[in-house]
Formats: sequence, structure tokens, C-alpha cells
Amino acid sequence: MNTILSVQQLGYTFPGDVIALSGIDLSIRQGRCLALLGPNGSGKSTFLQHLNGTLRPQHGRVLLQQQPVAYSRQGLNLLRSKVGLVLQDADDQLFAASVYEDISFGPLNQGLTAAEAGQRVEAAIQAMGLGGLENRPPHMLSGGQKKRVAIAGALAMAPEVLLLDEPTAGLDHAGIAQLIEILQSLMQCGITIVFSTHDVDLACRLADDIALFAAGRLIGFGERSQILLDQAMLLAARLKPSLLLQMVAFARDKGLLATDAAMPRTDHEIMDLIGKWQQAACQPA
Amino acid sequence: MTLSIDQYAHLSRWRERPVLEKALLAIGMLLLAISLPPWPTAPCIIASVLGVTLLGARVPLRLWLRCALIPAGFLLTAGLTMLFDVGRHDLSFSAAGLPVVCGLLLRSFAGICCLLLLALTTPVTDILASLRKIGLPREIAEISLIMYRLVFLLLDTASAMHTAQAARLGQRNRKQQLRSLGLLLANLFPRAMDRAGRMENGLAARGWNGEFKVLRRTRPLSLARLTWTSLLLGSVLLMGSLFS
Repeated sequence: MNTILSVQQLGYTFPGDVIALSGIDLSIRQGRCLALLGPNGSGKSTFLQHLNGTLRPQHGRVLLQQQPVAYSRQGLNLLRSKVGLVLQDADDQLFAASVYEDISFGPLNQGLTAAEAGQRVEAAIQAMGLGGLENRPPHMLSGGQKKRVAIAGALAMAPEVLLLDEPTAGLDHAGIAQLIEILQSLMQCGITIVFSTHDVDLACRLADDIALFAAGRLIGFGERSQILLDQAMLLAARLKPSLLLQMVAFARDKGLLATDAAMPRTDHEIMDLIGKWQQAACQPA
Repeated sequence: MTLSIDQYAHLSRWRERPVLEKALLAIGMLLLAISLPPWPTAPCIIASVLGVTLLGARVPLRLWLRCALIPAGFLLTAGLTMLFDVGRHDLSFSAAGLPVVCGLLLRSFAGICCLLLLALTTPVTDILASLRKIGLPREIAEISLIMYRLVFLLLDTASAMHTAQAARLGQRNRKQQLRSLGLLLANLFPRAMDRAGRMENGLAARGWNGEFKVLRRTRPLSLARLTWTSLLLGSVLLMGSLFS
């Protein structure tokens, strides 16, 4: 599979010698969903901000489709057209007088005509389920709605990669469920997704690959099951294996779940499996 | 939290009507109220504009009363003081001024009705966009727009900080209140700068290059409504000039 974005030996230090990132090597494959998993202050957000040029690396470099990113206006415009960013706090992103106007901001900056931009906006409104809210000002939206407007604003630029910083922060249960559905539908459209989180279950639910961050270092990178079922590694990153992960690990230990079988993504999937195991156990051989 | 006038405007039934139509009615009536003698123009204007506001745009009467109360209070106090002559040694009631004061009050109240019609059906941002069309410089329009957006965020932050202070007895007496206010303001500034920085990043991520280009959806003018408005303005003009 093609690598769309990669970083080499990335390092970044905040003023006051606070090391945010050091020696990060990572390749993001096209069409996959990558979770940046780690506790607060592990460098996930700083890393994300490097991927669309918000931050410029102090050490190492960022490559877009194998080409080093040029930090000129032109280079940044190219990078940001391909890599959309959704900030953690939607209020930092929404500025316009209405939902419709806000979403149109990115496409117009890309130099699209009003007609083309209008189509992009309509499509993004449809995809994010924002119909009926087009004329609302941002301060009259709920948290979940603001988040969806922020995603729509990035999506309207037709990016190949969508970066989301802590996408579920501040959302209630229903809001999170809706967000997950939206991200899943985006993945089906072939958009590469990179999101940061400290929620192991969210990573298990959505991600194909996981990059595990701890104290500014990348301490693990691989397929979902490879990272999430390694308890020692999770604990090293100050994360706790959830009940779901513990049950999966247990089922594997006991030979109920084959090591090459797909790892369950949700509570419901593991409960379905338990039902099947029970049925199998009750049937006479 | 009570909704602001602007938020009601966003929810108004007339929200979707072109600003020009609403402005023609409201500003047109306002100009008539200012330029014609108050009797009988002002009562006509009050009746027709109020009718349009309450029945046409369906602004709830309670909301309208709440909004009209404050400016009406100012008017009354101003009117009352004008009824008295301040002499060198005394204060005397001047009955002769009564008709003038009544006329002035009627005229001003008609003006308030006109402006409330516009304010309760047209959000600030729509008015800004229209002003931009008739020549308000881009920079001023954009700065006003951003300020309008950020004022709400700043108020939210300030009210959250105030609640947090009150929860830790920061408002327990006058002296402490003053100290807390100082702390709040001092903290608000770096927070605002911080937010501005993050907002700039967010805008840059969407290719911002110094200009806030957005798509505005324009709504077609209705010839019928424009005609009705003109007829209404015309009849008030006619009545005002014939019967005064």
C-alpha cells in the first residue's frame, strides 16, 4: 500500500526545554485509519500539528507522497489542500456568521469558483447530517453540531488525509456514536484518517493501525491487535487495557479466539462471540 | 441564559427575507417618522409597524415588550425632565411644553418601533454583509464579524471563570469581589491571546491567506412584498402630509 504521509526523525522542543517530540519515524498508509494513542502530554497533538504544516519540524522532516514538504506559501497550500485538520475545540475553528459560510471558507481559499465551492459545501452538509442548520451562527449550535461543522469545513476541501485532534473530547455518548458513524463512512470513501486519543476502546473501534506515544517518543507502531493486546506496552504508555481488551486477550490465551482471527472491535462483537462459544460448548460433539 | 436580541433575530420567521426588503420597510418608516410632523404620522407608523412586527413577523408580544421597555424608559425620563423649566432659583412646570413633548415622545417611540422591527428579524451579520455591499470597507466588515464571533466566546469564558470564582467564595464580599474581578480580567487577556493563536492555526489549516472569503446565499427579492411595502410607506406619507 502507498505511503501518503511520513515523518523522519521528527523532533520538537517547546520553549523552556520541554521536549514534545523526539526521534519519531512513522509512515501513514493511504486509505487506512491510524490512531495516535497516548496519555495527556505525550506529544500526540504536537505530532498532528506537524502533519499539516501548522508546526515546522525543528529536527527531521515531513514528507507528503515521498516529497519533503516545502514550507513556502505554495508548499503549505499544497499540503493543506491534501491534509485537512480538525482541531480539538471546534470553537477555535468556526469563525463565520453561519454554518454554510463557514464551510465555504476552505474551498474558496483553494481557488474554486462559487459554483464549485457551493457543490462542495452542499455535499459536506449532506455527509455530516447538517441539513436545516445552514443558516445558524456557530454560537447557536451544540457541541456535537459544532464538531460536525468543523469536520465539514475540512471535508469540503476534499482532502486525502483528515487529521482529528481528540475528536471525541467533550462529546456525550450520542455525539460520540454519531461521530464514529461519520468517520466510518469517510473511511469507506477511501479517506485516510489520523486521529489522536487516549481512549483505547475508541482506537480499537476505529483504527487499522496504532501509533503508541509516551513522553514525546513513539514506543510502538503496528496493526491494531499487535499494539492493543500488548499489555506491557500499554502500561508503559500509562494506559490501562480496557475490559474489552482484557477479554480479547483472555479469549486468545484460552484458545477460544484464534490468533489470526479478526480482533473484535466493540463490546457487542465480543458478546456475540461469547454467545457463539457458549452455543458451541452446549452442542454434543 | 436568556437569548440575546440577535439570537431571536436568527430564529425569526422573517430571517430568510432579503435584508433590503426589511430595511426598506423599517428605515423607510423611520425616515417618515423623523421628517413628517408627529401628528398623525407617528401613531400611524406605530400602529402599522407594530402590526407588521407582531402579526407579520410573528415576534412574540412579551419579547417585544421586553425589548421596548428599556428605550421607552429612557424616553419617558427624558420627556418628563423637558416638562420642567429650570430657572435661576426655582424649578417650574411648563404646561406650554406639553404638546411639544408629546409630539417628541410619539415620534421617538415610532422610531424605536421601526428599529426593533429590523433588530428582531435581521441578525447583525446580515446587516454587516449588506453594509459591505453598499461600500463598507472589507477590513472593517471582517474585523466586526470576527469581533462579533469572539465576543460570545469571551463572554462564555468570563462567565465560566466568574462561576468558578464564586464557587470558591471569590464573591463573598465587596473587597473580594473587586479582587476577583481584577484576577478575572488579568486571566482573560492571555486566554484571549491563546485562543486567537489557535484560531489562526485553525484558519491556516483551511488555507487562510488574509482574506475571509465565504459564500453567501442570496435570496431573491419579492416584487410583491416590495410593492406592498412601498404602498404602506406611500399611504403613511400621504396621510401624514394631508392631515397634519
